[in-house]
Amino acid sequence: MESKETFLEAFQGLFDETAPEEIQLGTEFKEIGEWSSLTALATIVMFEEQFNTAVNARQIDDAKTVEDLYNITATQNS
Amino acid sequence: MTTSTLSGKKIFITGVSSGIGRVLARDLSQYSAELHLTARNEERLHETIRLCTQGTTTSYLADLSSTSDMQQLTDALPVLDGIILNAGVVEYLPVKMISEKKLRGVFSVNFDANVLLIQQLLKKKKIAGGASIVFISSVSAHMGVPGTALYAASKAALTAFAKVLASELAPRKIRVNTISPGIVKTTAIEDNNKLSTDAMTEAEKAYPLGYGTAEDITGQVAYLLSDQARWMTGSDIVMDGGFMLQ
Repeated sequence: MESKETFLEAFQGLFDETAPEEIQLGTEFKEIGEWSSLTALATIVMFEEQFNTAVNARQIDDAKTVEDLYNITATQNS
Repeated sequence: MTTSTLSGKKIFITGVSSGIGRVLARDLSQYSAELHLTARNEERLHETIRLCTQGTTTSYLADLSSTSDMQQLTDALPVLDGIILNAGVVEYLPVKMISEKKLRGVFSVNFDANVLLIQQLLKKKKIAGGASIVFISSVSAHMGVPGTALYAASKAALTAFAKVLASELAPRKIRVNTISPGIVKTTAIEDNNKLSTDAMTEAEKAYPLGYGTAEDITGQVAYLLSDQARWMTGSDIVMDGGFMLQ
């Protein structure tokens, strides 16, 4: 299982205009100005490619914070 | 068009395990055609065959990305009057998330396999003079919808290939056309869980006539396969419920 720090870093890397330090585990990611349907798509691919975890759009919709997203990998890979 | 239009014609369809391919097989069987069907999944291939209640049906289990499967398939097929190249994968991702594996994966199925299949059928003289070839492309090939780069590019390549093929085969009266559907409600789309139900519902608002169904495609394919379309080749038929009007 990947660490929270590794996951956070990968997630921060999806954003081009938002400074990494503005995105933390407690951040409500859908409130980030840069968040879009394309970022959601990138997030799903990130889960698949970097964390070997299949995630669907509904799970992204249901998550609020970055840590909620991390917990998806934790649940599926435990 | 009467049901005798395609009676006895030898028609080959790829990707019949679900979606448009399955409905094509089911509906074209009603024209009493001699169907030759291929798919990768044996169980789902047989489910499709059970839906084909008229004419005759021969099945071929094959992975078109496998060279040996492709060779066995093209050896086994008879000389064909109609070919529908429908097999494909839907893959949505932003450009910056593209990997070589994803790139190869999409093009291998959506483009390479179709090109190599046609090449082998021609080489083995398995396409009858006067035959009709129909590629299922996509309206994505004409657009720039975010997240569709790989899929759209693979379909655009397919559409371009079909046009050149049409000109090369015209002397033998073999016709080649593409159908470019917009979003059609199929299991491939429904199973593509990268798009939420809410997002799909919202996106449908861009379709003046709503999303299509596989049945919307089959009538057009039957027409292109028939002699009634004898003057059509190199055409790309967009079927998108008005999506491109805006």
